[in-house]
Amino acid sequence: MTFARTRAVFSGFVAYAVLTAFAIFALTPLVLMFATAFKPSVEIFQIPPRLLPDQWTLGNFQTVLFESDIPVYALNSLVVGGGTTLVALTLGCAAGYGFSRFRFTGSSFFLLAMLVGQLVPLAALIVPFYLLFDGFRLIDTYGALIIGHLTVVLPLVVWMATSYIDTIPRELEEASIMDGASRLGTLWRITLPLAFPGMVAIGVFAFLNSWNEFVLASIIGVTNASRTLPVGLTEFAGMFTTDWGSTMAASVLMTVPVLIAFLFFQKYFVKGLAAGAVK
Amino acid sequence: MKRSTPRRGFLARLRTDKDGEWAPFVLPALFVSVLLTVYPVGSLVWTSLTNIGPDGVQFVGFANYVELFQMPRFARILGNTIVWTLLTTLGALILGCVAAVALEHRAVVLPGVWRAILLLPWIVPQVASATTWKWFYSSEFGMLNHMLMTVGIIDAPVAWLSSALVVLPAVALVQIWSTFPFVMLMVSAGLQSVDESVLEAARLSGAGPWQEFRDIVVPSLRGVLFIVSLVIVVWALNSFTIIWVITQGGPAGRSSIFSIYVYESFRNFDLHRSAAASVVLLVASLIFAIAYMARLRRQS
Repeated sequence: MTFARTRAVFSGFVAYAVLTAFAIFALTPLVLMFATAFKPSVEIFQIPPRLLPDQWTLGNFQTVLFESDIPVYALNSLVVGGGTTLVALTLGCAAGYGFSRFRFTGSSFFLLAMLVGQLVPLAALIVPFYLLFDGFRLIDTYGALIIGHLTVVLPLVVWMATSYIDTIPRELEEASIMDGASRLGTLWRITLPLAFPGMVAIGVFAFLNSWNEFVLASIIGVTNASRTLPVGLTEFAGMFTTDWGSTMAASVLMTVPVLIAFLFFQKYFVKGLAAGAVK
Repeated sequence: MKRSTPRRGFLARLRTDKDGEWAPFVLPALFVSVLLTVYPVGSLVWTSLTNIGPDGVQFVGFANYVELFQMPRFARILGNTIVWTLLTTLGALILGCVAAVALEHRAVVLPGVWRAILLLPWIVPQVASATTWKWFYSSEFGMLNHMLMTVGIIDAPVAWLSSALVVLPAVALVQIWSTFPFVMLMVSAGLQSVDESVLEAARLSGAGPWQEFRDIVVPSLRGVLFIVSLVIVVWALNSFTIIWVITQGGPAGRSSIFSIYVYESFRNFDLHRSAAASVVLLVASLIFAIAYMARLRRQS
């Protein structure tokens, strides 16, 4: 980063002051989440409150892991996220290849439609999805959640896969076809291995979208058979109205995998997000 | 934003079309996407135009919409939605731009680390961060009141989530917190793509740094800002999780926006009015989504 767009309009000191203020703004709630999760309950309700625990404890995590249904919800979230990712990656990467390598009537329109498609508000679609799944007796099943999540995740994956495959030079494929390989053989042996790291990142991204989704999950996942972590977390907060320690511990458990994924895939995420204007 | 393949003429596109090799790759995803969008939207519109009468489900025209608009609560929900959208959009835009400009300052070392830190609010699952903010805002044991009192900004604890006037801005702050990183990311990408040679030319012709910033950098960000604003507005209109987790629209509907009403009426088994409210929400979002699409199309 060697450019100087904003140089000398204000000093480096101001830049650091601003960044520090933003870092405090960004981090304070997160520090509170982690600190509360490790606090014994006497400290949580002490006045005046203190940010960091005096006595660190794992008690809240014990409560969450062994005395609540949170592990069941986490398992449900894993299954739904895994199913959504599998379907979205299979269909989405094929489509990404198609959009990237062929021009056809309407291709640029459809691609843009995909970009807009991932903006579709699930909150506005709860009525039709409820009626649909109720009609097929799919309420409270993994299948219904996967189908619902695909509504936003699939367009997202198509868009990201297209931009990613665009960055793989097509000369390699052309050379392989010249040498007598079939298109499918080329796809399998040349394009897919090259696209693999991007696909992994896109898959993780798809998974996280499903992992975080709340509104649809809250009307479909009505019992432990399919209730996911975000929904479970809100009910957890309601169930123990005052047990903030356990609630924050559950939040931490839900957040940590996301943070780890972000650390590993930051480069791809930042690029993919900026390219697709997605969340 | 730009696709690397240049857009060709209509004839050229038709020509590559003829063997239909693209179809097996693209059609399955396209089919599923269209099905998953068109069917629910169609079903939604139909539900909004029907109601349960003495002989089962009946077509009632716009009766559900009329009822919706005549509800005593309607004015408040509409007002809240407008205030919410303005607050969160402007807040995220301003904070995001300020953060981006600071981040792209030449003096900043390790910009990648700063960026990662400032992106965190956007990465954390919204349910988890909203739950944390609810705790942060707690009036008795909450950390925010304690911090503000320690610094001396307030004298007595503020009831952030139960005071009629404070609750909407308070919840809006959470939405701003979770979306400003997106603005920052896009604007800082925009700043990086400012044409170096134009800046050079301006410098040679004697432009000062402020002039350079105002006359070259800011205008070149216009496209990015337009697109980012549209996305943020759509997010704001359809935002649900943050408000629902923190206040459920309360107290007494003071932080209730359209998406919250959709959910509430659904929960009260008023499917048809919920559907009418959903259609209103979809149409509002669609206006911004179409502007977004038109703009992107012009760019590519």
